[in-house]
Amino acid sequence: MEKKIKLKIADMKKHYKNGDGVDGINIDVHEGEFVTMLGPSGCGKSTILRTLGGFLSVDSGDILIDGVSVKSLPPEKRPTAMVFQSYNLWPHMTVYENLAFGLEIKKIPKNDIKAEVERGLALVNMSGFEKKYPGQLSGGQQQRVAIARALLLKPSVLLLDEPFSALDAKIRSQMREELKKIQEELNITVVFVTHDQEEAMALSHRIVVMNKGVIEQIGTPEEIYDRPASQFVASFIGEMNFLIQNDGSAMAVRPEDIVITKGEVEGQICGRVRTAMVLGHYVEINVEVGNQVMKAYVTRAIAEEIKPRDVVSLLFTKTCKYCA
Amino acid sequence: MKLLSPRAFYYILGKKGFFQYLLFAGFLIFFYLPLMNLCMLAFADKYEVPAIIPQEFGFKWWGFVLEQRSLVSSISVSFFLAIIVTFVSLAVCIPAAYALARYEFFGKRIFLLSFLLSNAYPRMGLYISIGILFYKLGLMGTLAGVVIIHFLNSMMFMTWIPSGAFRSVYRQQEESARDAGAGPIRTFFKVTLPLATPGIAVASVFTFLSSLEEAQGTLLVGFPQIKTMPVELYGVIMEYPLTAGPVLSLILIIPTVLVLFFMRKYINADSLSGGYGVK
Repeated sequence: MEKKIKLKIADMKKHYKNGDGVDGINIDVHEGEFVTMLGPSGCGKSTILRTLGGFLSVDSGDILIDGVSVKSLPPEKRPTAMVFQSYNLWPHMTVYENLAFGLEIKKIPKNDIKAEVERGLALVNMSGFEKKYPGQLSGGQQQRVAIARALLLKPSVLLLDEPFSALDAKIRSQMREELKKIQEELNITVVFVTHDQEEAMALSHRIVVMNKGVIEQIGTPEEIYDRPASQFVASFIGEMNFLIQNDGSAMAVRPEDIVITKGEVEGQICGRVRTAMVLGHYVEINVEVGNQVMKAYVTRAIAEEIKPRDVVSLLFTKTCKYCA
Repeated sequence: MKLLSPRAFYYILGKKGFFQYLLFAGFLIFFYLPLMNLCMLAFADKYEVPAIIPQEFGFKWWGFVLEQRSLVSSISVSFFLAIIVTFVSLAVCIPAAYALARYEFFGKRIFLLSFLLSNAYPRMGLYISIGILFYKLGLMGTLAGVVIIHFLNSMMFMTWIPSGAFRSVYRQQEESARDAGAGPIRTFFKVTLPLATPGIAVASVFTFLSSLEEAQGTLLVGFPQIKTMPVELYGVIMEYPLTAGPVLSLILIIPTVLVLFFMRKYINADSLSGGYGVK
């Protein structure tokens, strides 16, 4: 059964005066879907998010939410809510006032606001922080409050602009897990922007990989990881070895798709082990093949047999090929 | 006492610290000696030059100054005027400051620099040409005329400092408010303005104080209908004995010290340098 399309970006174009911008953007986001826009900085992912929120106008194309064009609406009239990377909260208001701000504008009765704020804080595990000021909270707590504030607006689409990238690694992964839980509980539609591919893989139903203002690939995390549509996607997502062939094309193989055998094996690529590094439960082995270096992940058991400067053979169980 | 030898002192503080100390000491003498002299003279009943210490101490001249109806009324005129000037400046300069902070428009730099122009000319020349204009407009000797003169003086920092304060409000904070459903005006009054308040408060204090001490322009445009404290001070210095002036000077200092004391949290190098964009 095909799900309802919640957000439709149709042939959208936005160019800045300096020539940067995005072009030919077509994305459909379904109801309850978590879509992440992933790409290096300056690829235009934030530009798209800001056009969705109404903070940037579009040059051409259209943005439809629930089938209605929001292209010409200001941010306050759009059914979206946005969480920024930082400085979301208003430091002169308490947590309660921050959360109640949007509800008061909607002229919701005071008692209902109180209940709503409590519910919102409970959702992000911040109950009891009503009277605190943002300055008294840690970075992670501030982002929780910001997410709660966005959720209380009951947006059709929740927009998150690298909300966790200012936090340290441990809290980041914790917040990631909580966001995922909340998203599934409430079944809200989310558009998430990040440059962290691990974050994108962990959270998303689908990922939009962007580069230099255009979409390189849209697909589920598995599709993007297993069948990268372009060499850029292949190199940007996860680790990838590129073996340049004689015709100039590149053969791409993931480190975990390489089987290493000691000695020379007929019909396999031969190389010499450069380094072997234990990275916890697996070992990274770098093998010199001609003038290129291939990276392979093997189990600790296999790695015990292999020492630097050994001659080994490589078997690729899965490869992709990209034309020059 | 080894501590008191300059050599020991030099090595305790280090080279940099030592010269900073000397500079600071020099500054204290330069700044506070005249002030102390002023205090001393204000409480002198009898004082004749060339003596340094007054011959008699007492409150005679305080009584004299406070008995002068015109002097006392000048104090209330000064405060009334300073309040009006502060509010007029706020009303005119805050929108300008916001525009300068948030929008790019043609001639922005020239507009910013134009605030310096009124400080580039000798004040008296400026006031005289303004005076000619005011005669034609019928503003001589009116409150409105004096307010305009005071406002001209405060325009620069009343625009620059709040503009810096607006610039330091993060855009995301404004955008979050828009996102939460607030229109541009509500966003300004509920988020931007409160966050910029410290800078605006500093600028207002300066406006208030500079209006309190403004004399030249007031004398030229407002006298004799509008007599403020500094204008009266001119008269007192010329007409009364040497010790009446210090009394009035001290009265002039009191509001300055009070305002600075209560606003000390906000008045610091940060808010000033932010305003002038030199940080």
